[in-house]
Amino acid sequence: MATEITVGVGLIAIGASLAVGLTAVGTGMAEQAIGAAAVGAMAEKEELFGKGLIMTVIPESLVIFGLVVAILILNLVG
Amino acid sequence: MLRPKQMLKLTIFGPKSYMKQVIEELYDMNAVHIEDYTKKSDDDVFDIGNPLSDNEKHSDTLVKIRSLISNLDIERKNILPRETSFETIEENVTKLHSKVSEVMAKKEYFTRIKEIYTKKEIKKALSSLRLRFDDEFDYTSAVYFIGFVNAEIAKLKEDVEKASKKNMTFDSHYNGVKAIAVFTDHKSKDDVEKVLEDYDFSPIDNPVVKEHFRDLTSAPGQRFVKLDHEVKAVSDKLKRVNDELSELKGENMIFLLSSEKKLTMEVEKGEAPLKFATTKNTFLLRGWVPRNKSKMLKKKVEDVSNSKVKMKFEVPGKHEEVPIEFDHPKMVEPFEAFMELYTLPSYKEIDPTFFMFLTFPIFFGFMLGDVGYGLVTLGLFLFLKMKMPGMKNFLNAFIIASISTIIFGMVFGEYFGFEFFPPAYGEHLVDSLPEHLINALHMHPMESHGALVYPFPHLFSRSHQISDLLSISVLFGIVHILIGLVVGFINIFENHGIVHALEEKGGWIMIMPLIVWLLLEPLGVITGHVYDMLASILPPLPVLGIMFAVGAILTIIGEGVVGVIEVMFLALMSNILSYARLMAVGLASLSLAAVVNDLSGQMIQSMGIIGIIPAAIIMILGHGINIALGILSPFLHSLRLHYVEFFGKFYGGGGKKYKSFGYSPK
Repeated sequence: MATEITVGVGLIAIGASLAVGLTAVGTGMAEQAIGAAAVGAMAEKEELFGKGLIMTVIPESLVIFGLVVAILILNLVG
Repeated sequence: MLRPKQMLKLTIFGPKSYMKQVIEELYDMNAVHIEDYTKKSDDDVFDIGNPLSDNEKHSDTLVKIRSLISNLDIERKNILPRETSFETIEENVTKLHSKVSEVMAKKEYFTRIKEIYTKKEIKKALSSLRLRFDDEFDYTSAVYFIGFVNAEIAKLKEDVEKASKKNMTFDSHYNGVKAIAVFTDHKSKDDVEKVLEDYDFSPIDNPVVKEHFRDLTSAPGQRFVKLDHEVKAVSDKLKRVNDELSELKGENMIFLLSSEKKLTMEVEKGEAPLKFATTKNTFLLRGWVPRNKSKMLKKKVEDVSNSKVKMKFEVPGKHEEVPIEFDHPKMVEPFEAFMELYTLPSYKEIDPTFFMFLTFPIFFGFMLGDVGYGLVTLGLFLFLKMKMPGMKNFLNAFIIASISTIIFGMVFGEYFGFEFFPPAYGEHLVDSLPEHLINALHMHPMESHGALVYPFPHLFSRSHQISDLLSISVLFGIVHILIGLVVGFINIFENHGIVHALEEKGGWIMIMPLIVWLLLEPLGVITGHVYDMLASILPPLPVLGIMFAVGAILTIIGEGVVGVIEVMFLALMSNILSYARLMAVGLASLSLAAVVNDLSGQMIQSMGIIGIIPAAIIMILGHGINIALGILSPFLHSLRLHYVEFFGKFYGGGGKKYKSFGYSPK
């Protein structure tokens, strides 16, 4: 029951991939700064590993929103 | 369970003559958290106390014991202190310490020499010796000893002087080792040799020396010198020293460990007055004691001091910083580690460890959700628990999470990423099982890529019901955040009254239904059964609108500008959607597992029986990586959902840990 690939379906697929891809880039940029700071803090005080790790994954939400949006977009095709 | 242990504020006041007895009693009880006394200004009546009289002596001995333990490489074990008197301990330790220092110095010396030999640095070492002979000294007919010693040069020279009337001694340092050259007449050769032997003289072989002598006069010789003999001699000596050390270790291990414990306890007691406030003849200490231990404490201290020492117990005031001691059943205890990682709850708020115990394993299991992975992680954590007893608490939490992973794996019907029976077997199974069982366990054959597949028994398929998975994840979010808001409401209600509670948390709770409606209708994030369920609970739209308006006004009153911004940007919505990670992380791990399985399947298909080898490698590597990611990522995300989304709704934190004065095994 493969869906017939039309231009519309292709555009939807591109939209979905942009949603995930661009948010992933955003997440990466955000985590870069936090990660660097967290490693710096850890060098000073090793116990901060736990907190640093948590802080670093906070922007991960962005890519998850992207994924949710991608799924919603893909639902258009069914 | 939802509150830390109740504490009473304690003040003890009495004459200094009873201070030692009181300290002993408190230490034995191990129940009082002592607050440090800090002198605010010079006018204060009280001074910080001085350590007990023998404390300095005991500390010195303790330092020696610890250096012995580390020098002898003794593994720490839990050994009970013994009834040895402090004098005996001190005497034995001092003796042992000088003995071990001597042997350690020898060890260091031989190790250095061995290094010089094996690195072929002997020539450099020799050329550091500057030989300048007096005119009347006939060095050509003299006997010489050239090599390394482990000694103070001045003392050695003195001894050599005694042994030989006619001698010349040169010395130098090379790389932390002392090199010497002693020249003497034939007559005193044996005597000098004996002296040198006492200083662990390690000679440099004759050919080398001869070579070097030529260096002094002519161009440097290039002859390669074999040093095997010396290296072996030094290695033998080094071995003897090491044997001596391990013998010392075997003899003294128990003594050292038990004495260390005994003295640690004594020093802790001895230093206790540093936390007290004292005058010339009295002492005063403040601290905290769990309510259930206060009666016993009062009785014991009165007994030991003939009621001369007075005590007062008070209920802590509103703004006092009370130390936190968790009060949980054994099952919940592992999750205290996660609270310590973040921040401890303060005394006046609800301790969320129990919620963490409920939801952390659910989230973790929901994300990893695979029977095979669950079994592997369970085995791994049980193994680690055996190897690292120090991490017990943390690992216990993971063991609970692994069990939850196995349960969710069964719900999802996933076993190492496999979801389907082999077709032949599946067909047979479906034919032989009763109809109602197949219905209940969703085992109907499905079409996938043009072929029939027979799924494992499951209640819910993650790979085929993605939008349902999303709905369930978001539902988890709604419930979790609602719990958070209600807990926050209770916290504020208890500490600041109903008005504040309504403004700060009630507002959010009233905004919540409209957000849920937004997720249902215009956005369509929630679908399927979850949609039906939520739609049946929600009141009609106008009511939702009014609730939102009231809630928004309350929030703006309660939280000011920040509140406005949060309402406008629908912070709740993004918090709830953040729970979609439960779906996302799970799908990612499932897809990776499926890819690994497909790849290895293709290997076998295309290469036949030989393909089993690459297939096995792909399987082990792929699943290995996926399990490693599968521990890290669900752990982090589950923790994050608690720390950021959940705790953000109610948690203040900032409590300090209750540390009782007494012996605590580390």
